[in-house]
Amino acid sequence: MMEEKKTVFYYVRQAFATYGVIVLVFAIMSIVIGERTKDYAALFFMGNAGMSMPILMELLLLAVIITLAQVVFLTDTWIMNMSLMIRNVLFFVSVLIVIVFMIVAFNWFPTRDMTAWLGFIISYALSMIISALITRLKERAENTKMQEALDKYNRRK
Amino acid sequence: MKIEIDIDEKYPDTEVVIRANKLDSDVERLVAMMRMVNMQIGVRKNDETYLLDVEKILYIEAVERKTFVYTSDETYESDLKLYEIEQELLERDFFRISKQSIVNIRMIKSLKSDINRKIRITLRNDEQIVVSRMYSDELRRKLGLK
Repeated sequence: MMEEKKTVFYYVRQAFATYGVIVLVFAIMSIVIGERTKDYAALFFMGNAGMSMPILMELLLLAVIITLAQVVFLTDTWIMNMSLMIRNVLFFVSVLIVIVFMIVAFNWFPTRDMTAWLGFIISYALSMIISALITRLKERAENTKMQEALDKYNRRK
Repeated sequence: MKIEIDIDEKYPDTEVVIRANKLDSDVERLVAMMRMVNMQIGVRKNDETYLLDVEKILYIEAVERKTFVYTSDETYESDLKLYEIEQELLERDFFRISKQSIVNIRMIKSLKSDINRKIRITLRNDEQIVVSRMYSDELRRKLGLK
């Protein structure tokens, strides 16, 4: 029983899996709000017709950075002792900083538009809270299950 | 090494006699392995040899070709390799948790899931050790969770 050795291809696969999810989310967003925002947000300047090559490359860069953040915060490659909750918070905060930087650098939407920022922050915060909550609940359920199994094992003999 | 086994009903007890021209490391290891059958393990500390009850062991760890045995308040060294101890103690509530260590399940205070499906063990002396991903599923199975 050998542990899977993580080569560079493992991380490339992970980055492309993340890229797939990001492109899917943005494709859905472009279908829903693309036409309304095409004259306004560079991200959806093609309306609901799709996404341009530069935008697709920018999203690939985002996927690579998210994969890096996952390696840093959600594995024990660099950080050994940290709770899952704190790891998740640090992961989401670092990704948020990167996305904000990309919004400004690539002008995904007008940076002076407070409503757009508010919409972005609310949707990001919501996804962060839901994800952290699910992780926490799963962690607690798993811990309880393991502790009960251990107590049962110790009562056995 | 010559091995002779003599099974006969005339013997009231099981007896092992080792004949050797000197007490070398092979003989010491033989003795240590036989001690484990009696739930004891031969260990050393400060050039003194002790017979340690296996139920007192928290965990055993291999570090740089040496084998260390940890109890609540002492650390000993064993002449046996980790896999040799493991073979003898697997039936006695000991479990391999990583390439370097085996733990006494009876000495585990609590278990917590950790990153990458690993399990963090808190021992009765509050020391923490981690079950590597490779062995955590096996531990879940051993506890009846899979």
